[in-house]
Amino acid sequence: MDISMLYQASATTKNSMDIIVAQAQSGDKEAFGLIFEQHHRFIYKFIYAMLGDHSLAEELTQETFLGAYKNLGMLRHEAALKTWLCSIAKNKVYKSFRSSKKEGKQSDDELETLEILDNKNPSPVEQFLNKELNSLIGEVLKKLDEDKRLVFILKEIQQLSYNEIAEITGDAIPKLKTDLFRAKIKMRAMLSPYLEVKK
Amino acid sequence: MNCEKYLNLIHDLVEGELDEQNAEQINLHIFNCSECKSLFEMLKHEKEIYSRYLFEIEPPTNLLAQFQTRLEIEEQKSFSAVKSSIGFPQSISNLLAFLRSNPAQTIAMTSVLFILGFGLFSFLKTESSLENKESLQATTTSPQLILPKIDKGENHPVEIPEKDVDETKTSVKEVSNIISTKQVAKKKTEPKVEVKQESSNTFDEEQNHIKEIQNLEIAATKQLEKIELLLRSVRNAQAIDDSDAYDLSYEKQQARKLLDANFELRQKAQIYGTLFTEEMLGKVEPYLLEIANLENTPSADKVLEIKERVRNQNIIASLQGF
Repeated sequence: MDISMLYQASATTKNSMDIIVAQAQSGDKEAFGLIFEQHHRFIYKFIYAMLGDHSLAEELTQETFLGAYKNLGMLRHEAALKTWLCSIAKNKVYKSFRSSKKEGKQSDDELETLEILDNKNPSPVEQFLNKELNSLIGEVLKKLDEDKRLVFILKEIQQLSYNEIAEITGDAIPKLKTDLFRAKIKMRAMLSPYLEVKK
Repeated sequence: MNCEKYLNLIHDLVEGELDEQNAEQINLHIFNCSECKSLFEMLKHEKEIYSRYLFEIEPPTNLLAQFQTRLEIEEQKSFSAVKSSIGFPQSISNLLAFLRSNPAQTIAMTSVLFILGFGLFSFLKTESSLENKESLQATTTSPQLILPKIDKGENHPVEIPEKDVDETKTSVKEVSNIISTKQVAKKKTEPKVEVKQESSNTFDEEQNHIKEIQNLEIAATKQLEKIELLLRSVRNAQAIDDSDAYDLSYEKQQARKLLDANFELRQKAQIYGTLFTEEMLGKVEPYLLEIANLENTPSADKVLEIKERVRNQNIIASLQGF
């Protein structure tokens, strides 16, 4: 397939997505089902990464799409559907942080304590010997405050661009960069044995 | 080599945020600088590890089916909510909607109704006073008719031969008779005064009623002005510096004060049947209640939700129109 055909295919997909969104906006549930099919994995993974809980991720994914269904008329720019859905999901997650008081928001002191503990233990690899790296990342993510965790997940894990993240969070790009930089430092401090480059 | 100026660019390169020209430039530098190269490698390696974090995380396969069921339930709920709201007499809600949207016609209609009501009241008042007058005339004439009879009976002594003896006595009696008949007549005329008092009392009551409604309307207008200011203040509230919390303690205090007054005014409006005032006061009460029950520094979500509702439901605009 040459580039022009690829472009044509992508344009067709985009156009058909626009049509699907327009149909969903007029109350077509089947069209909304297609939107759900296309985006629910991304949203589910995002919520899971933020909260580290499958049942909450399931619940909040449904709530996100219910909110989206009710407010689909407010979506003006179909191209931003993914970031729009993600911003709804972000609000649900933040609400959940507050209501369940499981904010995961730790002061720097607490983080330092964790780092000190790590430093005291010469072999963190042994400490987490039976744990997989992913579950460790999940644990460490919970130690980040919610804003840094949000940027870290969206940028490092879900690979969105700064512009897309700015649309979701409403923050300026320099702030996002600073938050990401700090988040990386904290993650690195806690996961250093696993992050060494194999030579 | 001075690499400081490249640090941010290396981060941006790893994040895929550099344009082609800058990427080429930084790649050239990395190729020639071992320190920057190792930094670049480390960041890239980290990113690869993080990007794999969610690879194995998958939502349950029946999530779409679950969502569709939930959507159906939600729609049924909202449908039954709409159905129950239709239970409110449609004609009244239509009338209220009409009154809201046509203030000029509302004033005209109110004036016409007031004039008609006042005219009817005056007519009834005149009718009843005429009837009273007639009945009073009938009752007041009867003592005068009786009077001669009394006089005849009482004048018998005058026919006694001792007529000359005490002519003065007779005259005194006549005077006393006249006085007594006058007293009788006075007694008979008393009901007329009572009727007059009754009708003037009703008129006064009516005047008081109108005055009270006017006072209520003035108080309600002031109340709704205050609520409008409060809602504006909430709508324009800004988060405290460097946080997403809001300080709404003053608004909360105001809402509590206004809530008490609102409840009282709404009850009065209900009693006096001023439907529009009652509806407006009822419409703003949930907002007052919600603001009054806020925490002193409520969460951004809660405040944004209220702000959004204030905006979407155009409550401030409808208050301005009051």
